[in-house]
Amino acid sequence: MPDTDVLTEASSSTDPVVGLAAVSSLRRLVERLEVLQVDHARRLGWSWQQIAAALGVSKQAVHKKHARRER
Amino acid sequence: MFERFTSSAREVVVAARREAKDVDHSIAGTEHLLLALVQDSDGLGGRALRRLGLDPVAVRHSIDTIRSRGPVGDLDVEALGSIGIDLDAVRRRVDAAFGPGALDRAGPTRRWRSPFSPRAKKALELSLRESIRRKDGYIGTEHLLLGVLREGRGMAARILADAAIDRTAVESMLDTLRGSDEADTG
Repeated sequence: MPDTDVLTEASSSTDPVVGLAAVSSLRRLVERLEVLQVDHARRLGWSWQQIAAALGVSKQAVHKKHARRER
Repeated sequence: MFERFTSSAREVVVAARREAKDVDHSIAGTEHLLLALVQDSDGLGGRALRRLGLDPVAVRHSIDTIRSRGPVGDLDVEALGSIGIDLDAVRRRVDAAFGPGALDRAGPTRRWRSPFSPRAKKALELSLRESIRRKDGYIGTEHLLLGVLREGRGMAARILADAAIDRTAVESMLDTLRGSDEADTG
């Protein structure tokens, strides 16, 4: 029944269980996309400085987080 | 631990790893063990599974269904869907850009170096215990099947539960098959 579906959807959006799981999964999804994009940029020859600027974080932060994968 | 395996059981383990490689997971999970078991023609385990109504097509279908619905590793498909993010769509695009399995591989690095997932490993250990329990002195495909069932939490256990194949059904089917084998040779 479509009516029940709408109701379920509306109620689930205020359910902390779903809402928090969504936030947590979204954060992990972002982490994965960052890994893919940073590695890709490095393969294309981008410097840590350039990547950091594009991500809006410090060069140290991005280096600390991602450089170990290159070793 | 593989020295006591029968040749059929060895083949199943090898086939499970091949199944995992084919779909680019490279880690064999319980679902790959089940897929290899159901395709094994000689062993008791595969024969029991097919007699209980399972076939390779059905298992593959179940694996795809569970994958598409359930959390991918630590990503919750339904929760993301509730805020309007279609994880399948994201994965399709990411994989198109960076290669098949790219999104899954970008996840947390695994801490074990085994070709088997922790649950598949557990199932293999339990198959040894099943063999000891029956005092069989070898590990055959029937023990692998019982091991997968007893592990209880992996994808294979879910598929078996969905197909209403439980321990009682498997044990009694194995008894039937053992009986008819003895009648054939005796």
